[in-house]
Amino acid sequence: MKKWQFIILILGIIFLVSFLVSKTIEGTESLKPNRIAIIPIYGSITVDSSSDIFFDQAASPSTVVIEALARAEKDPSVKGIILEINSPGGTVVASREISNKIKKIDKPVVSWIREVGASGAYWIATSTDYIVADPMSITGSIGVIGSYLEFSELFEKYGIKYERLVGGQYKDTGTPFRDLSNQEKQLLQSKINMIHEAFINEVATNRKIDRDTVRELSTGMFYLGQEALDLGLIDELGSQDEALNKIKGLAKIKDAEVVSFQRKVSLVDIITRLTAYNSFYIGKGIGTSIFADINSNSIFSA
Amino acid sequence: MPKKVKKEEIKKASIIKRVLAYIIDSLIITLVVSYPFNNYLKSMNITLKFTDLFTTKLTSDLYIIFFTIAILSLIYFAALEYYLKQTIGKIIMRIKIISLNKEFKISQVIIRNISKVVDILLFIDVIYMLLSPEKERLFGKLSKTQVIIK
Repeated sequence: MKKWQFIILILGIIFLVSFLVSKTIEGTESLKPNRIAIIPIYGSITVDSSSDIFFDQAASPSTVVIEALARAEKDPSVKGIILEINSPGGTVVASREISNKIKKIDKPVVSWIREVGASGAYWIATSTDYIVADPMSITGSIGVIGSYLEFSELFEKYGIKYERLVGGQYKDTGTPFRDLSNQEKQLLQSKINMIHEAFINEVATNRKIDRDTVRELSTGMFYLGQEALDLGLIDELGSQDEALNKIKGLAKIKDAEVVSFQRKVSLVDIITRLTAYNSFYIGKGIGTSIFADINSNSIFSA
Repeated sequence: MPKKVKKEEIKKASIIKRVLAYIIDSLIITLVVSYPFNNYLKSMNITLKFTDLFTTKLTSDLYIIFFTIAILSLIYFAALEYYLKQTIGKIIMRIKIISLNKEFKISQVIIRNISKVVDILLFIDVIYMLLSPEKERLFGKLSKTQVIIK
């Protein structure tokens, strides 16, 4: 047998054995360990992932959280999921997206509220099977906020005039360059009320609490862990141990390895994002980027 | 007067050549041996580190993966060196191994390569090589083999 024929034969045999062992392991359920996935929800809940360049700690983009939930759902070794919540809330859409994803998962999900699990974060927590919170944690805050900065008087002071050209009388509602009319205030308030009502319905349905009771509690007031337990907004006071015990009980397992499903930001990610940021700021100029926010509310926004 | 027969000189392979040959072989092993396990490890959200062997984190399946990779890597080195006196890395770097004994036994290639599949032994081996005056690996010496230029 020639030299290279022999080498190819050895490599072929080695690859075949390796392939067969890997397929056997993948197919053998008993070999896989029981695992509990911990998915963090830190900082403000947003829909996009561009809020933090380096560590993704300041915000929890819904796309990232949903991706982690999907991975945990797909992994047969993961028997349950713990949401580690430390967030004051975020946008309605992002909170709803995460909440809807949790409801579709057929594995037990437990919320573990650490320092804060309020507003949108609490909305998410209610969609899980069980809520554990520290007695001193801040939770609840069932309410909706819609605010904006209004610069019209400042502009007036500097002789800057807002020329209003609109097609559709509400097209520039919320622009920071003029005061809201009473009609517009009512309009925006009605939208906020609708979202508030949806929030109340969601909490009532998820927590199986009477709608009127939730309505009474949904003043936007936050509650400490102990108060929240008395009001039925959470299920248990405790920490990670209590959350782990509960999830093991729900998953009907005795032992499990705890694995963090936090997305790791690689060096390549950081470099890619830094490059993207640099290109953006060099290309458009810092001044342009500041005015981009204002322009989004201007006559040219779609 | 009859000419003296010159003793054939053994030209030892340099460290650089040996290290490069090892890197090439490691890349081939990664591709052929480790790659089939990639999907499984990815789905488990695990990055295997050697230090995991000393923790309780590893479960039966991961021990099987470690063991399989180690055994198959050893087979790669031992089979090629026993039959061809060269691995792919050594062929590319134009070096080969010889036995310092009369015979060339399979036990010799197993001993000289055992450190390549057990990281802690490889560490000891490399330290020994860097400190020894003849720049030989400890397991190379124990196996009574030598890497020479072809």
